[in-house]
Amino acid sequence: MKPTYFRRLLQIGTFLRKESLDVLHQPKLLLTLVIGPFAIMAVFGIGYKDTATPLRTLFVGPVGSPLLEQVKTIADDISASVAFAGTSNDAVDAERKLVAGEVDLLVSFPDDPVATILRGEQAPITVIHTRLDPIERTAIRFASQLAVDSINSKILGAIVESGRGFADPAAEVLGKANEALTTLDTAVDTGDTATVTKAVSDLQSATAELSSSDRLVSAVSQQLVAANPNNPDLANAQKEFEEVRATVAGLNAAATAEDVAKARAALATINDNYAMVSGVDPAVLVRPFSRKVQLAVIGGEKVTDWYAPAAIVLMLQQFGVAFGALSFVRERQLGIVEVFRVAPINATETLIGKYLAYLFLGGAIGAILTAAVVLALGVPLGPVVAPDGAISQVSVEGVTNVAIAIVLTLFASIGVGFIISLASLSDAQAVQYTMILLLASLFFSGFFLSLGQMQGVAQVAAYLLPVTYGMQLIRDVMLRGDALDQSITVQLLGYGLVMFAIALFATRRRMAVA
Amino acid sequence: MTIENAVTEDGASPAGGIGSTAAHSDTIIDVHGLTKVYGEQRALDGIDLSVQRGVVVGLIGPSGCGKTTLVRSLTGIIKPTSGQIRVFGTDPAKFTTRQRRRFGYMPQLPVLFPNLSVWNNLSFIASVYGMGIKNRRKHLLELLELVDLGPHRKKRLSDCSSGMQRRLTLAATLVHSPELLYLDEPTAGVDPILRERFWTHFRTLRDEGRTIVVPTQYVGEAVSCDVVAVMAHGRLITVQAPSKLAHFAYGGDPMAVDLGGGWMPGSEVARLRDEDYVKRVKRTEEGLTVIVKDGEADARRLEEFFSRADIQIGEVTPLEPTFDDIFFEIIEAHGTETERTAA
Repeated sequence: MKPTYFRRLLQIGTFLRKESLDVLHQPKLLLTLVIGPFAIMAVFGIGYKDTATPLRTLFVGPVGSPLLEQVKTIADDISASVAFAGTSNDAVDAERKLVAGEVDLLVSFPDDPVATILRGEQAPITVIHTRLDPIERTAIRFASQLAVDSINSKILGAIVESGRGFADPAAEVLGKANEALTTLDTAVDTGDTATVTKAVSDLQSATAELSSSDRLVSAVSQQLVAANPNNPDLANAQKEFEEVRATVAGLNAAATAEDVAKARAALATINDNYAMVSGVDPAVLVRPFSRKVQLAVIGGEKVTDWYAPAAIVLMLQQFGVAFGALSFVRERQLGIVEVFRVAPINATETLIGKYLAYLFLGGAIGAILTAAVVLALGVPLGPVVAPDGAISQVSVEGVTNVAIAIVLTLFASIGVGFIISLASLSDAQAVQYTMILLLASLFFSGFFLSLGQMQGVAQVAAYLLPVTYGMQLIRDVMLRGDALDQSITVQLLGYGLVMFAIALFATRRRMAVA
Repeated sequence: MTIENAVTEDGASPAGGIGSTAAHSDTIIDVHGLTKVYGEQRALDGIDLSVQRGVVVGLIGPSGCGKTTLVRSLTGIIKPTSGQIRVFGTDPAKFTTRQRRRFGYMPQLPVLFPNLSVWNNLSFIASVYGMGIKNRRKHLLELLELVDLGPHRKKRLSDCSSGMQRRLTLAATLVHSPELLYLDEPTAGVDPILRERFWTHFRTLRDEGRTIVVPTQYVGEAVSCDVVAVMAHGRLITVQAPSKLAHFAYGGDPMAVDLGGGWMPGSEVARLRDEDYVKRVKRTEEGLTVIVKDGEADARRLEEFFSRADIQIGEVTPLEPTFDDIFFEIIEAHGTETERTAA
C-alpha cells in the first residue's frame, strides 16, 4: 500500500490521536485533573479566613505597675491583633502558661521603665512567644508593634491631656481680653482716654498670656496644615496670632473704634481656633491618623481570586510536565521505541504530535477549570469598566489573553516534561523529578510567597519554572484586566522554544542507532 | 553463507564456513564479519550471511545465542562493533524513510499501547507508515482476521491475553505489506492451529517474493522454513535446508538397523566401524544406529555387510530424528568444538 501524500501530517495526527486516546481512556485520571484542583480551590475559598486569629496575650509586669492598668484600658484598641488575656505579676507562672499553650504571647513590661526613660533611652517591652512558623513570627512582630504603639500613644495621650491643662487659663485670659476690649470700645466711644489707656494695657497683657495656649494651636496647625489645606483658619493660626499681637501692640490712648473692631475680629479668630483644637480628644491628637486601605484594581478582592488563577497555572504546569515526563519513558518501557526506530517516522513528527496532544488536552482542562473558578467561585476574568461606569467581571480580551497564557505555559511545561522523560530511565524516576519540580514551584513561583522576596539563586530558580511566568501573566490578566505583559510573554515563549529544541535534540538521539 | 531459493532445492551452504559467495544481484541481506560486543560479552561473533529475495529463513539457536541481536543489527536499531551490513544495498543505520518502509520488524515482546483498543493500535501503526485513512479499513480488517482478532477489535489491549497481544503485534508488522520481514518469535504463545495458519501465510508472502527472517526457539518450526540458520554463542554454525539438517548434525545419514532382539558381538561392531562408508556406530535398544555417508546408496551396502557377517537383521531404514534431536546434536557438537578450540 502506497503512503499518502500527506504522510507527515498523518503521522503527526496519529501521535496526537494516540496520546489523546491514551489519556481519554483513563476517565478517573481526567476527572481528578479537572475536579481535584477545583475542589481544592473551593474548599480553600470556603474554609480560609484572611484575617488572623488574635493572639491570646498575657501582660506581665511588677506589682503596682501603672502600665498593667493602662493595657486594660486599651484592650479594645488592640483587639484586632491581640486578644487581651489578662495581666500577671508572676513571670514564672506566665511563662508556664505560654509553654502549656494557654496563651500565645507574653508582653513583659520592664520593672522600672521611668529610670530608663529618664536616662534618655526607650524602655523595652519584651514580647515572648513559642511560634516557629516564619509567617506567624512575622505576624507576631507586626501585632506586637501595633500593641506597643497603642500603649505608647495611650501614654502620650494622657500626657497631652495633662499638658493641655497648662493652656486651660486661655479661656480665662480670652475672657479678660474680651472684657478689656469691651471696656476699650466703650471708652473710645466716650473719649475716656484714661480708661482707654488702661483697657489697652489690660488687652496687651492678656494677649501676651495667650501665647502659651497658642503654641498648642500652632503645633497642631504646623503638623496638619499640609494635610488639610482647605482649613485656612487653622492653617493661618500662627500668622493670625502674630497679627493680633501686632494689632494689640499698636493700640494706644489714641485708639479708634475701627482699631477696636479690628482687634475684636482678630481675637474672635484666636478664640475660634483655640476652641477648635482644645475640644479634640487627646487620643486623637496624639494619633491623628487612622488607616484605610483601598484596592485600586477592579477585581481580585477575595483570597480565592488571588490563588485560583495561580492554582490553574500550577496544575497545568504539572499536567504538562507529568504527561510529558511519562510519555517517552512509558514508550521505552513498552518497547514501542524499537518500532519507531525502524519505522519511517522521525523525531520531529513524533514530538510535534505529542506536543499537540498534550496542548489540546491541557488546554481543554485549563478551559474547564477557568470556567469553573469564574462561574462557581466568582473569580474575575479580565474585568473591565464600561464607559457608563458599569463593571464587567469577564471580557473577551481577558478570555483571549488567558487562553494565550495557558497555551504558552503548557508549551513550556510539556517541553520540560519531555526533557525529564528523555533523561529518566524509569517512570518512578520521572515521577520523582516531577515531584521535585512541584515542590520548587510551590516555593519559588510566587504561589504562596511573593516573587519579590526571591533573591539571587532563589530568583534564578523561580525563573527556571514555567509556572513563574504563567502565574504572573494569568493573575494580571484575570484579576487586573491587564493586557498580556509583552516582556513576560516573550520570555515564556522563548523558554518554551528552548525546551522544544532540547527535547527535539534528545528525541533524535533516543531514536537514533544505539 | 548464502541463503537463496536454490538452497531449498539442492541442499546446503557449507556448514561452519566463513566465506560467503559473491553477492547475488537479488541479494537482500548481505552481512560480513558482523561482530557486536557488549562489555566482555561477544553477542555476535563474525557473522557472515547473505540472504536472497523470496525465502523464509529460520534463525534457530538456544536462548541468548544472538538471534535477536542479529535481527536488531539488520534493522538498524543497534550498530555493530565491527563488520559490514547491507540490507537493500544500504547500511541499515543510514536507511532513508523510503527504505524503512520496505521492511517490517516484529520485536520479541508485545510492544503496543495497553490503553488503546486493538483497532486503534493497528490504525496507529498504519498511520505511522503513512497509510491513508480512507483506503486502509479493508486491509486492516483482513489482517485482524488473519491473526484471529476480528471479533476483538474494540477490545482494549490491556484486556487481551498475551497471545492476543502477540498476534496484534504480528498484524501491526504486516500492516504496510513490507518486502522484508523480521519476525522475532512470531508464534510464541500462539496455539498450534493458529501457528499453522501463520506459517501458511508466511509461505504465501514468500511466494509473493517477500523475504522473511524468523528467529525462533521452536525448533520444530524449522521444517516450515526454506532454510535454517543455526546459531550458538554468537556464531552462525550452519545454514541448511531443513531436510539436510540431520545430515549436517550427524555428519552423515543415520540409519536404523533392527537386530531382531539378537546380539552383535563387539568385534563385528568394530569391523562395521572400519567400513569406509560408515562414520559412526551406536548401540540402541532395538539394535544399532549407523551413520553412513549417503543413506540411499549405503543402505544396500549395510545389508550386504550383515549378510557377509552372517548376522540376522530385520531391516535397515533411514532414521528420521526429530528437529529437537538434530538441534541438540548440532549445539552439542558446536560446544565440544568450541571447547576444543579454546583448549
